[in-house]
Amino acid sequence: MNTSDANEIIIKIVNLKKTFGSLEVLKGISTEIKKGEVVVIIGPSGSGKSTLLRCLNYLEAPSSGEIHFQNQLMGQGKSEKELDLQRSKMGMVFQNFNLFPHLTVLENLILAPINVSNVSHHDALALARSFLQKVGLSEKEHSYPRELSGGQQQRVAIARALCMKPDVMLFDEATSALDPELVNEVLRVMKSLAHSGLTLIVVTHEMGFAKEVADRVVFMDGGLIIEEGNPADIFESPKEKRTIEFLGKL
Amino acid sequence: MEDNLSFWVFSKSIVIPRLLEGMAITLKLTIISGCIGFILGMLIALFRISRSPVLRSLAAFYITLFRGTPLLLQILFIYFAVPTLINVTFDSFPAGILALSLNCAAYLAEIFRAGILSIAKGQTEAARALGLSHYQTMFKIIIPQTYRRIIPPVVNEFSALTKDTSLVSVISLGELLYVTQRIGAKYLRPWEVYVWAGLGYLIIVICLSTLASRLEKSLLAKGGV
Repeated sequence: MNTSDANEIIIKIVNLKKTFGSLEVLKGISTEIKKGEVVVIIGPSGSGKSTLLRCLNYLEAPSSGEIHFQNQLMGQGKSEKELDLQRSKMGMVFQNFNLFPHLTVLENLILAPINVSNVSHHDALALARSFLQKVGLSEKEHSYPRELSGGQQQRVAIARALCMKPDVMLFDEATSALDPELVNEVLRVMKSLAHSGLTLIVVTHEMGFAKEVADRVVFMDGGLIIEEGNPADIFESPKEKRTIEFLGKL
Repeated sequence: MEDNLSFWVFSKSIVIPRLLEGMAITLKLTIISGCIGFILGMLIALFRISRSPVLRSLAAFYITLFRGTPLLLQILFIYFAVPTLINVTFDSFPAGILALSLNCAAYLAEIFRAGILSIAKGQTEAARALGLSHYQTMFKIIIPQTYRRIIPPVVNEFSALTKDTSLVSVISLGELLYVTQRIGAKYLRPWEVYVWAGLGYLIIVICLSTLASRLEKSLLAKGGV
């Protein structure tokens, strides 16, 4: 963490609620995320972790509550265009990769920089190649997504998000759809991002990752944050009954 | 005297030259109406899935109207009824184009809509998360992925359109069926002319299908979507 902005708040969530029909998935989430912080969100399925992440960049519009991103209110009262711009500064990596199958790896990477950030084709290519190298897939630039393994696809998806030079990266169970032997190559890339000082919000079932790289672990259950703290505290001496139960089952 | 001509001589000297003229008009009708219908159909499909309830109902109304009434009626209405309502008269060719385009747009719109809805939601989410707008997502991500899936139903629709152009003969447009019917009536040799007319349509539809399957294969080679 860079000391000069160690206390700079990049995301502030205030009493965030989300209901789908009669189902209340988020029941009032409030927390702050500091610049450069690596926050890992854990919890049982259906606890609202993914919904929280998807509300952060307004893929799902919250039912009530506020999200402040870089001191600006997300979504509310903003034009569609301003919201698109805010979204582009939050990279997101999905469980199912969601690469664009009709485009090559390189085309996947340069699409948003050219069309959203108005980067020139030439600069976008240079940017894309530098991130492809970072995720170790330089030789795959002309491949189509279906020609890659799951782990490779996910690394391309990470590179694609990085090409927008995001201020925050959101990982929504990025390794859950991978064969076990492919999980590590993706985790390795995520760890290097964590060490690079980028702000990460990671929803995951990989407790090893949480213990090793998280600055803060957030335990969610039933649409609420039950407990949060540094990984050592959460994993070794959880205070809440539900946290103890959840960690005990692992 | 001409009554005694053999099948081949009759065909070669009388049927085929006019058949080719008729086929040219049939082709023109098909291609022009197909292109207009394609663009209009895409527009209606986008209306049909738009976030505006007004646009959505407009599109639904259009599709119901043009799918729910016979094409023959639509052709007759445009050629004979519209001029009495508003002060415009159409020649038979533009009237035919108009009716065929409007009709095929309704069917194509539903094909396009189904294609768009068949693309996984994750594609839209990934595009929007990158900051792409709704329209960029539609035109750069979603619609290109529908191309290969919609080729078979679109070819179906275009084959139907090719044959539906024959209905335009009711407004005396000299397309394939109209010219062959006229020759048949004049020389009282119906079976030869109808066989030739059938072959004429068959050739156009076969060419169309061949073209489409080539296109499909080349898209398959590119990304496989």
